[in-house]
Amino acid sequence: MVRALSDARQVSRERKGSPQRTSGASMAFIASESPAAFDWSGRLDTVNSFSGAGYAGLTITLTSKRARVPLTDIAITVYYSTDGVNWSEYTYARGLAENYAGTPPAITRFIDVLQGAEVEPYKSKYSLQLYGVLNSRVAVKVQGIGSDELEISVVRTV
Amino acid sequence: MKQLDRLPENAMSSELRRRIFENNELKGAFQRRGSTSVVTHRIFSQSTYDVQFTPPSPVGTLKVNQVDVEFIPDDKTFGGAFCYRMLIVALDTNNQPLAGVQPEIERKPVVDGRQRWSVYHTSFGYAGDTARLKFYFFTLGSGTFTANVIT
Repeated sequence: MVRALSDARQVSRERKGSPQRTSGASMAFIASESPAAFDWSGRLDTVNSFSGAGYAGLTITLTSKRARVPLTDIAITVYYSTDGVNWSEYTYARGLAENYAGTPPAITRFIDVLQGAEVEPYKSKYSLQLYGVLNSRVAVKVQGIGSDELEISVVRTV
Repeated sequence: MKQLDRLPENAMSSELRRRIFENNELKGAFQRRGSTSVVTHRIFSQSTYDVQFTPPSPVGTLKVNQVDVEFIPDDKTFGGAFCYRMLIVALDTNNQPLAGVQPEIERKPVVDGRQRWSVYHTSFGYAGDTARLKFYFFTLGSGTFTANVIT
């Protein structure tokens, strides 16, 4: 009887097509977004004392539903508006080109992965810094991509 | 596995329990008990390099080169493989590692199960600005990729 069951298990394993015993041949990924159009919007109104440019520092926290240590990454879409009403996407390439040419609003972004022992289980943290012409209106949409469903929270810290 | 599971009379219940977990996974349920390791893949093409950026002219012209990269998992039955990192090696025209060139990588939102990145390399028209890029995908499952230079 036990033998028969073992055989059945072996068949299952082979059907999965993987030497991995308890996971499939691929560990699936899940892309999560919040229902909001933007996860954060505001002005680049913190003055960088060196350049006079404006910036905003955001902390992005992803909380996984089940996995204690999820493998995660983030995809950021930045939007720009001159009036706070009409928003359009501001691409990474435009930021680079405007920054070199000195054309406003010259918005650049930097992402740091904040992974240390102080990051609690189920959480992944990232820092997103946005630079540009002082008081530019920007908005950010975050997609969390990882091995689990993720809840996204964005807090301005600077 | 519990101590008691090692007793011969408990072998069957232990076996059944394991069988149930495997069946759950065949159904595509969330992985309940990960094994201590998972099979990972490093996916790359057979070519020496995947794309090449040529410098703009005349010298001094700014050009932000862009290539859009997509990783497409082979089997999406259970949601498809996750690509945790995409790394790039930059080569010169002799296919030697290009010192000091670090193209910027922007992860883009997933669309339709396709994991996407845009890669930027800034060039000012100098001959040494020619860069060949080779992509490496570190994934939890198999898949293929495409690289599309944006002109």
